[in-house]
Amino acid sequence: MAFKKRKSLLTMRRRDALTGLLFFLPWLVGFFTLTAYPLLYSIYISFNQVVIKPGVIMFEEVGWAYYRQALMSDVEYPILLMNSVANVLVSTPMAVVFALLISLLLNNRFRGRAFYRMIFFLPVVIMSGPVMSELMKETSAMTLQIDMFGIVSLLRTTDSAWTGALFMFLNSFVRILWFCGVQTIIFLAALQKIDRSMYEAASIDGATVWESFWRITLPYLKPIILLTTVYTIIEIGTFSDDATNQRIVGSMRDITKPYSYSAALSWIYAALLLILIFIAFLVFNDWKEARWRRDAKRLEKERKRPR
Amino acid sequence: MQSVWKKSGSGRGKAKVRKLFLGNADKRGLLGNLCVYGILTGLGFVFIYPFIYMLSVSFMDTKDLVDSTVTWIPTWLSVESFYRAVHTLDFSNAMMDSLKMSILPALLQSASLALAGYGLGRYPVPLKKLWVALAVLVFLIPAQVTMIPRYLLFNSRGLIGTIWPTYFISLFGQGIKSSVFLLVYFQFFSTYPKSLDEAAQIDGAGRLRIFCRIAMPMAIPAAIVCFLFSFVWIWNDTTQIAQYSTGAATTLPMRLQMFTDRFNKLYSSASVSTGGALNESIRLAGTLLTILPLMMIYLVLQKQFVESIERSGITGE
Repeated sequence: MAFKKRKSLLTMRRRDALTGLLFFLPWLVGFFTLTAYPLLYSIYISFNQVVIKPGVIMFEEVGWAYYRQALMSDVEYPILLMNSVANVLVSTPMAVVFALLISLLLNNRFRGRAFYRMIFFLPVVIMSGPVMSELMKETSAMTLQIDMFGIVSLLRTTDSAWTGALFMFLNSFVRILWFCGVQTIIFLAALQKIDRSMYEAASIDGATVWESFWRITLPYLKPIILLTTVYTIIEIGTFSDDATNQRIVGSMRDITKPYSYSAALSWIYAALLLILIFIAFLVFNDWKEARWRRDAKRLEKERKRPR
Repeated sequence: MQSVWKKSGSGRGKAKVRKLFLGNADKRGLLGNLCVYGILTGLGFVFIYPFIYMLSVSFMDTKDLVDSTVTWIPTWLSVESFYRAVHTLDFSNAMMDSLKMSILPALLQSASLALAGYGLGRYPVPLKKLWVALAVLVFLIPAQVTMIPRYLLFNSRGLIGTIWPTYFISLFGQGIKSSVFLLVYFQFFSTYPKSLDEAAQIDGAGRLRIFCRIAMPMAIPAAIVCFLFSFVWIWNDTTQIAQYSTGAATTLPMRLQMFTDRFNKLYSSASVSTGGALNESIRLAGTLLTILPLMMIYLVLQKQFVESIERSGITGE
């Protein structure tokens, strides 16, 4: 009797798994045909020369030749690559910090909160490659034209590396801010989940607002900072008006080396972005909690063993 | 005696003033409020500065553009630039193309990802952790690397130059940033109370029916996030449609991309001499027209856009 019951349970579980798989199947099919296979295929292509003859496409293995060509003998690509990576490196911390700042301010209760939130999120909705490049091109729509007490014009007369960097910053300030809409909302959602009583307890113990920000808010937000940093790297790195991306798309139909060269270019860029993401992971991952979890797991195992 | 009174009186007054400016534990003072409003307004201004600039310049005519005394407010509202921009963009056709390429794909994507997220979150699908990990990994790898193989794949089926690639990609839930939505649904469906499903099952409802009648209505916030963001991201994307559907559909952002060429073709050299050359005003009018539909949608649905992110549990529990 008991045996029978168990067997029926098992089939029930199997049926559940099957139903789940059926629900999941469209995505799975799509994943293999439209994402996983193309990923592997593009690696394969980047190591082969594609020869297109009427009706057939043939491959000739060339090894690392295209990668070497992209990095060593391409006049343009390494510079584009450096610019894009530098752009990501500079913009990401700024976007994350501003997103955090804005969300901390918006987390207060005050009149007009929804209105401000609406403004800060607007760029996310309207931002597209062509719109961005139209706004950046020749017009001064994306550069602030406010000369604070003549300081900017005074600086403009002096010429050094520092002022150059400052102007680069000022010129791309609006653009970078426009990339932090989603992150702001994510931070805001996380901030609202922090237990208020923690702040109360801290303030009773004599902590100032400043101290409780560094000791409560920031540690709590650490995983969220990792999430938003990774999101920002992807968002800024793969934005379609980025010069490297345009080069990748542009060299797709290169007559002498169709597809392969573009695939190699895209993988070089992808590898660099993945390295940046990995660095972000190393910096923001909560190692303490990871260790704590691991220890908890080990203890659990040890406790179970004697039985 | 008197001095003590005075002292405490002025002390109370000071405390009042202090409370007014610096606030206390419950209420922020005037100074704090001023700070918050000041910083937010400053940053907000930076955010909408490009819009103000666009609005101002696109209503200027050629005379205002070169007049150095006119910086923000045009001498009169000239709609000449808009007229030309509408013409150059071929606005009504572009709008139809944009809608065609974004509404239905966004719907397909949110539906298929809902199914996938439900299956993954609610049922014991084998290798569950692996699929979730793969979805995250795919999000991390820039989409550009899959472009060529996808192109070759669609090309071998003769689908290049039609509207179908975007539809297929969405139908199978592999569109732009689709991993994010899959994770949102997965998160939602793995935390919602399963007893509701079980109750319906006892009442004799089939599994598909449970999904349609019970699970899905509860997942509406997640579905709204998925639909709205898919819609906006597909609308704003130019790479995918330009690669796979050239000729079949030319969306608004794509037309903005070739604005200069189109303009020069439409208004040939004859009109240039009479001050009809492409100028900043016309270009910004075109840009403004391109984002206008999205801005209108956003003004109506801004609450759904912003609040649904908060409610969708994207930040994890």
